[in-house]
Amino acid sequence: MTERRNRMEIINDMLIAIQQKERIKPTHLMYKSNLSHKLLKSYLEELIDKEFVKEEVTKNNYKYLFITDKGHEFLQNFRKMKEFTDSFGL
Amino acid sequence: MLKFYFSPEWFHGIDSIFEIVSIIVALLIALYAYKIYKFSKVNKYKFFSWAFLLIAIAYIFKILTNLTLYKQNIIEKTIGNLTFTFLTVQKTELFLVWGYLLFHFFMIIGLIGIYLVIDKQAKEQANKKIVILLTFLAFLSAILSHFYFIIFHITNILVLSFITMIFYNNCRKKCTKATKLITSAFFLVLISQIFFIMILFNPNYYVLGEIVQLIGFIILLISYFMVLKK
Repeated sequence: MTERRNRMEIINDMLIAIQQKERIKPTHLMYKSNLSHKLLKSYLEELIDKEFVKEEVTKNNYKYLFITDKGHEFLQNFRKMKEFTDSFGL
Repeated sequence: MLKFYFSPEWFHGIDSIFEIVSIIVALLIALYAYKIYKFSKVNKYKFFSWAFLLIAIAYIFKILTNLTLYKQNIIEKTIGNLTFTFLTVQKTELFLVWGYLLFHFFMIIGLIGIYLVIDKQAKEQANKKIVILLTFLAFLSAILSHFYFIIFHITNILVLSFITMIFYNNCRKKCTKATKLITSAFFLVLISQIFFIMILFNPNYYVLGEIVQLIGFIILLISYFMVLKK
């Protein structure tokens, strides 16, 4: 059985999903990051608040999400943290 | 006067420099683990950070106690005033007792802390009662170590062998340069404890123990930078 993801891993999965697509609709992100609507909303609020992600609305009223430089920086830091925790078997 | 140390005289002070390296390494790991905790809010990283912090604090107590002990010897040698020397010795002996007690206590607690965090089975079973019991046993071991210094090193050997085994298993599961280095680092620290026990036969083993321990911490430092460089 796979282990439950922690907060940091969920944020990482969300940012990777956005990064891969360059821009993504919230519903697609929900499927890609395997989250419920309620959880996605709460995590997205946090990501936007921390300026890891920005939201843009197109002329035809579609909402898209983009990863920011700060988000890219987080992903880089996360990789290092993951390497650290894996090396110590944490 | 009680005999607190077994180090050869020419090595006095050099061991403290070695210990400063260990403090820096322990603090770097503690700080990074705490940074991860701040990001993730996962408690195991906080406990891992505390465990390394306790090891750093333990070494600080060891340095302070050793330097007091070495300084006290100089005073005794250079000043021949019997009353003055007697008072100094009495005061410093109290500090030495507490210094070594705290060094032993924080070191054992720090190592047990690392073990509880990295061992998945222990982590699941480690409730408050077990943590209190282990803390009490660490305290008892620290007190007994004051009378029989071997007890401290035997306790360390026991906990360090558990830790090394877990790192070795982790290394087998995920074989990277970093996991290999971490396993070797803890193995060397474990070996150093055996040399510290052998001081009973020859004080020069203290030097060997300190050198092996230093190499262990330097390897840990190399693995730390290796991981963060990626």
